[in-house]
Parts: sequence; structure tokens; C-alpha cells
Amino acid sequence: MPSLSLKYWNETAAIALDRMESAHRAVGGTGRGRRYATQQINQSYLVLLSSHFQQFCRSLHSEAAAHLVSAIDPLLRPIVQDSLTVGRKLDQGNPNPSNLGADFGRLGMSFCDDVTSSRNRNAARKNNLAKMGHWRNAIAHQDFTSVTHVRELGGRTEITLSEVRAFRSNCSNLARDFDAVVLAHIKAVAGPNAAW
Amino acid sequence: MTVPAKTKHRFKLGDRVRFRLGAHIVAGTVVEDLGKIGAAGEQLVRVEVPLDATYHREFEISTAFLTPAPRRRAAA
Repeated sequence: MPSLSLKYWNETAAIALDRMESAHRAVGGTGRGRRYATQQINQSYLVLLSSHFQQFCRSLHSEAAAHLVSAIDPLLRPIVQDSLTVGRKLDQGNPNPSNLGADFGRLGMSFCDDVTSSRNRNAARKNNLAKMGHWRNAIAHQDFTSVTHVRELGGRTEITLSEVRAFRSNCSNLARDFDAVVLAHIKAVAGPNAAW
Repeated sequence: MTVPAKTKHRFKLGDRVRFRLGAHIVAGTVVEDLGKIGAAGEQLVRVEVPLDATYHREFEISTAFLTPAPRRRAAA
């Protein structure tokens, strides 16, 4: 059974992202200017994708923290839960491997190692997630010329729909495996009966 | 120490609430509903607590620990 965070990602977030696909089709047409109109949609789609994935990761972290502290003394519970969640990088930063590793590390996980060792393709998926973060920042700040973005994006300023779809697929695959490795960690710490 | 009774109250954004934090009872305002993602389906919320005149902190907490608090009176 998946976490409620994964369920939300698979259902509610998917609906919101599908609407961007609809918007792309609606403005696509065949007339002049198509490329430019759809480019704005593609960029919006990428930023929306990143924000929904950030929400999933943050919610999964909250859900995991709540389960980890559920068995401790009730007097300590709010204090410990606060210490696990306060000042999270995911509250303000992108869901990139660095921020994910830092936040889930506070729950006692070697998060990135756990994810990459759970499936062979996840090392590449982790790199793709980092690349999505560079696109997200370049678009959100309209900064395609900084040294970092030129290096990471190859000097490109436009992103294609197929690339955004690939990032979305990448996020979905990672979401599934994030959910699994976090649940395995909860069971290892809180006992085999612990579950979402 | 007893486990807090499961609250049937569903808190929403803007609600004033109280909860025990260590030796103190603090009061704040619900600023985010995270949904029923806690253990056994408990509702989690973020509560903004003014710890002093200039410093506000947000706490992520199960509503099982919350009780409703009276609204603050508007300044005269």
C-alpha cells in the first residue's frame, strides 16, 4: 500500500500536470508563433512539475517523521517531530538530490545511497532530477546565462515537451522508489508492523 | 503519561490552537493543513507560534495534540 503522499502524487498532482498537457495542445495549433507559445507552456509545465514533486517529497518526509515518532512518549512526540521537520531544505529548496539527502538524513537514512542501490536505473534518475532542478531555476529566475546554467544546460534556453515528459516520468519512477525505501526504513526502525 | 485522546475535531486554516511543548502550553494559528498523513491517519498541520514579539516558529504537529484556543481580540 503506498503512502498518502504517493497517492496524492499519482492522483491529484497527475491531474494538475495533465492539464498542462491539455494547455499545450490547446495553444499548439498549426499557425505561426506556435513554437513560441508552446515554449511558455513547456517552461510552465517544468516549473509546475518541479513544485509538485517538491510537495510530494516534503509530504513524504512529514509522513515518515510522523510514523517514526508515533511510538514514543507522547510528551516527547511534539518536540521530536518538530526537531525532525523544522527548517527542512525541502520547505524552501528544490527537490534535488542534495536537499533530499539532507532532509531524509535527519530521519536516520542514507537516502541517496538507499535509492540508488534499490534499482540500477536510479543513479541516472538521480542525475536527471538534478538536471530538472537546473532547468527549474533557470526558468523561474529567467537566468540562462550564469556559468552554472550554461554548463548544466549546454547553453540552451528552450525546453521541449518531450523533455518535460521525460522529467515527469523520471519523477514518477523516483516517487515510487522513494516511497519504498522510506517505508523500508520505517519498518527497520519502528518495527516490521509499521506501515503507511 | 497518557496518550492524548484522538481528537474528532478537524482543524482548518486560521484556527487558533493550543498544545503542550515540553513544560509549556503554547498557542498559535493553523497555517497549513498537511492532510491525514500521520500515523493511523492522524491529521497533520503546521501551526505558527509567536514565541516572542519578533520571533515566530512553525511547528508540524498532529492534531491529536491540539485543543482549540480562543481567538485573540483585535487591538483597540
